[in-house]
Parts: sequence; C-alpha cells; structure tokens
Amino acid sequence: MEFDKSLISGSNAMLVLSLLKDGDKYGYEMVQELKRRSNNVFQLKEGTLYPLLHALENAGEVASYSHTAPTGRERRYYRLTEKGEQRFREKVREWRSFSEGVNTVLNAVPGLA
Amino acid sequence: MSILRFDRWCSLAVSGIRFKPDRKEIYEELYAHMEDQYEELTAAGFSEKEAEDEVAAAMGDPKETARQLDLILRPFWGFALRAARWCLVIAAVLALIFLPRYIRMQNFHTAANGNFYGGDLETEQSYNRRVWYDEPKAQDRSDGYTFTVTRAAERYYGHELLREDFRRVLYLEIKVFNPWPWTKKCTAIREFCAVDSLGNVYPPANDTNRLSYLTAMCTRTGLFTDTWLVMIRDYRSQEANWIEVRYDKAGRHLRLTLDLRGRKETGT
Repeated sequence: MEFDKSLISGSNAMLVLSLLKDGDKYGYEMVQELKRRSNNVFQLKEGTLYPLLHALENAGEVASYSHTAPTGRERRYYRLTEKGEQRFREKVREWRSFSEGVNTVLNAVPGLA
Repeated sequence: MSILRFDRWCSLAVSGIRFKPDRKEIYEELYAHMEDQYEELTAAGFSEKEAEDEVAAAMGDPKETARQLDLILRPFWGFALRAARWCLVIAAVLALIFLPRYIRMQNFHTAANGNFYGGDLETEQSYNRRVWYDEPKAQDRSDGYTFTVTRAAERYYGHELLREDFRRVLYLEIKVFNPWPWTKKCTAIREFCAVDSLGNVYPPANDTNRLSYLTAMCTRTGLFTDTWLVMIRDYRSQEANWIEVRYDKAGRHLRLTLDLRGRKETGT
C-alpha cells in the first residue's frame, strides 16, 4: 500500500531509532529490517535514510563506527547513544498521544468502524 | 553489476557535500549499500539488469540525496579543523624559523650585557670605568635606516697578559631601525670609523693592521630592529669631549656624535 509521504516523514527518525534499539546496524540492514518488521508496509528510501542517519549523528543521537559485516565486507555501523534513547522515548510518547487523538476523532465518525 | 552506474549515482549523491574530505566516507557507505542490495536481488533470482534497475529505483534521486546531505553536513567544523591543522603547521614553521633567531638574540644580549656591566672572570681586575646608564641619545638617519646609540661604556681590562692597547675598549650599543625587515640585516657597520675631538682615528678593522680600530658584531633583535655591538679598541679618548662614529660611502653620510662629558665613573 502506498502512503502519503507527509504521513510518514515526521516519523522516520523514530522508526530508525527503534531499529537501533535492539542492536547496532548498518544502513542496508536497517532498510531490510524495517521492511520485515512492517510486513513490507514501510520501505525507507536510501536517499532518505542516509541523510537522516547523518542528521541523527550530528545531533549526537546515534554514533557510527566501521566494522566487518557478516558478509565479510567493511560496513559503517550505527548505534544508539544515551541521548538517542531519550529522544526515542519522547518520540514514542508523542506518537502514541498523537495516534490516540487521531483514532478518537475517527472513531467518533458515524459508520467508520 | 554496473559499477559505472552505481559510481555515477554515488558521485552525484555526495557532490553536494561542501567539505570534500567527508565525501569519500559517505560515497563508500552508499556504494556498499548498493552492492548489498544488488547481491541480494541477484541471489533471489533477478537478472543483472533487473537487479540494477531495482537498486537504482530504491536509491531514489541522487540530486535530492545530495541536497539533503548538504543541508545536514555543515562544513563549519570540517573547515575549522582544517584551519586549526594549518595554524599548527604555520606555528611549527614559525618556531623553526624564529627559535634559532631568538636563541642567537639571547646569546647576543648576554654577550652585550657582559661587555657593558660584567667583570672579567679570569682576573677579576676588569671594571667599567665609565658607563652611560641614561641611554645616550646620539641619533642619525641614512637610507631609511635610523641609528641610535643606546648604551656606551668605557672598559679597562687589567689582565696582565693583554697588551696595553687591548686593555682599553669603548663599547657602544647601536640600535638600527630597519624599515625593511624582510631584507638582510644592516651590516654596514663594517664600513664605519670613529674619530674623537682630540683627533684620534679608529678605522674599521678590515681596513688596517693598526692596533686602534673599530669592530662590531650585529644581530637582528626585533622585527624592525638590528642591534650592533661596536667595540673601539685601543681607546685613547679619556680626555676627549666627544667621539663620533661616521659613515661616508657611496654618497651617504652618517654621524653619531656621543658627548663624553658628564659620564659617570663606576666599577672598582
């Protein structure tokens, strides 16, 4: 299913931070993992992912390092920092409150169950 | 795999990053990503062409990626780091140039001070007979340079092995303001001579085999200043009213006249 880009763009950072919550990953691994976890619903474009990762790194929310991937190739891994963990929790709280509000409004619409 | 196609995409995507040293790392990261995806697709049964197209489509517009990366990777810290490195290199080069000069200058000052105020370590018989502490103001200009006598002292060395004419020396310190510090230091002192009011003449050392002569050493002691330590050997002007250091060559004339009256007796 195709989504309106504006629906997801505000949540990209939260999704990427969530991917790093259970371990360090490199870019391609993140794209694959997101696809798997969302049952192919979310497909993060690489052109979006890397600028986002570098922005998070600049903000100190993720840190990167070079490491050999299981494929035997040198890859740039990202890990969540303490600041990133904190930001992630805030984002989740924000998202939950937002989606609850949206659902409440939608549930009040007659015939939209 | 179309290396050229992936290379073109990655090169375009990093072209927006203004701080060039950052480009290589991000290029490699993007390229590795494309390789991984390509390999997975071919392993899943895609043809090479199909896999390439799929990868290119997934990566999106490289110009948009370039724009995004440029917005995020601000070049300030990169350039600041480079500037700091250059400052360090420049500081090291300046230290290499100026440290030996500074050491020479310190040695010169030590030698000069020893001549003006020090004793003779060997005999302890040397003393300053007369020292002008209040900076004699004899000054003249020539060829853009300004010459000022800043210190003067008559010294007598009592060492018994020294010839009598070597025992008497007049020391002068002359500061030369050099308006062209990038040129060589002013060494014209080698052409100077001195005369006093009694008619005694002290020619430059290189002109004569006489026992009475004027000699000097000079060093750069500041960006715009050279300092000369002038020694007038066999100094016989104790009764003279003045002594004049002169330069007359190539149409240039310089006169530094030192009033010898009112000088103080010091030493032991």
